[in-house]
Amino acid sequence: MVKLRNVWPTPYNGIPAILSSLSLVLFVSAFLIIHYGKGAYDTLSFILFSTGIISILLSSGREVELKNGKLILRYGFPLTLISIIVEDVVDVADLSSLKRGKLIKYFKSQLVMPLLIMLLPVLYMPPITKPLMLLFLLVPVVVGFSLLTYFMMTFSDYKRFLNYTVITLAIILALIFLEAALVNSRIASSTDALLMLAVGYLLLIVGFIVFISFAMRRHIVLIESKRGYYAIAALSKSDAEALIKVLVKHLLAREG
Amino acid sequence: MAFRLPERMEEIWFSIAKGERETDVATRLNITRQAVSKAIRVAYGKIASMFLELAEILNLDVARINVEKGYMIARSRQLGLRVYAFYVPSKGIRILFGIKPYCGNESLLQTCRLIIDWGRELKIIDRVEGEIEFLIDKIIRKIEG
Repeated sequence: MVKLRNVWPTPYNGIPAILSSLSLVLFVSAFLIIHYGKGAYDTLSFILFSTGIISILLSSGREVELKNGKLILRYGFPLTLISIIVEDVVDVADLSSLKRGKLIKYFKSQLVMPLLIMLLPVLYMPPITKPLMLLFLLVPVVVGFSLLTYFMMTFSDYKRFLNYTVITLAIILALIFLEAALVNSRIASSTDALLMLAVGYLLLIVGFIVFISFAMRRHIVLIESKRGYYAIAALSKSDAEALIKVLVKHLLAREG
Repeated sequence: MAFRLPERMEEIWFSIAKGERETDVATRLNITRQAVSKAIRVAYGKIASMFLELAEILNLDVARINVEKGYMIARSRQLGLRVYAFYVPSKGIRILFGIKPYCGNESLLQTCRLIIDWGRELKIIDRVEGEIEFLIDKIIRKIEG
C-alpha cells in the first residue's frame, strides 16, 4: 500500500461531482428562500444551507492511495466516506503541462456549476437600491466566470489570465478604497483611518496574490481508465511529476 | 530491455488500438477472448515500461503516457525541449523533438512518415492531406490536449 503525499482527488466526476454541484444548488435555493420567503422559511433555508456545507465537505478530496495495483481516491472531511477505485488505467497525463490541456474536454458536466453561479443574480432579481448592492451581485458572476475560464482555458492561458486578473483587481480595489476615503470625510481627516484603509487594501491584495500563486502552482493530473476520467490535484509541478512516475510504475507497467 | 513487443502481442495491441473489439480479434486470430485480454494487459505494461526506461535514459520529465495508443510526451531536462515518443508497430519506439521543422533531414523525414502512418491508422488524424510538417503538427496538437 502506497499513500501519496501532496496530492488529493478532485470532485470532478462520480458521486463527489454530484455532491459538489448539489451543494451549490442548495446554497442558491437557500438564498432565494431567504429573499422571497421574507422570514417565513428561514429554518428551511438554514437546513438547505447546512446540507450544502455537509455536501461540500463530503465531496472534498482527502487522499490518494495505491493498493494491489489499484488506485483508490478517498473523499470526505473530517471522515472519509466515499472511495472510488480506479483500475484498467490506459492514460496518465499532467494536464497543466500539456500545451492544449483543458479540463472541459474530460469533465463537461463541471460547466453546470459555474453557469448556475453566474445565473444567481438573475434568479435573485433584487431591486437595486444602492450601488454597493450591484457590486455585491457581481461577486457570483466573477466567481462563476473564473471557474468557467478555469475549465475552458488551457492551463498556460489560465495562468496569463490570472496575472491580468491580479493587476485588474489591484486597480479596481485601489479605486474603490480611494473613493471610500474621499466620500467619507471622517476617514479622510483621520491619519489612523487612512492607515487602516491602506493596510486593509494591502492585506486584500497580498491575500489575492497568495491565493492565485497557489492556484498557479497547482497541477492537475488526468487519469483515463476504461470506465472514465479522473483528476488528481498535485501541490506543485514536481509533485505532479512524482505522481505520474508512481502511477505509471504501479498501474501501467505492473504487468510489463 | 528490448524496445519492441513480441510480434503476436503487437498485432493484438495494434488491432485493439485501431478500435477493433476484443471478441473480433479473438475470432480472427483463433484464440480465446481471455487470451486477447491478457495479451493487451501485458502489452500495456510493456509499453509503459519501455517509455519509463526511455525517460530514465534520456533524462526526461514525463508529461503524458498513453498505453492504449502508444505514445509519450515528455520534456528533456538538459535541452529544455519537448520530446514525443511513439510506439510504431513492427518498428518500435520512434522519437521526435518538439522543434520546427520536425522533419528537417532525411532520417527525420522517415520517422515523420512512420508517425503519420501511425496517426492515420489509429485515427488520431482523419485525413492525410497536406505537407508532412503540417500533418506532424496536427498529430502533436491532438496528443497535446
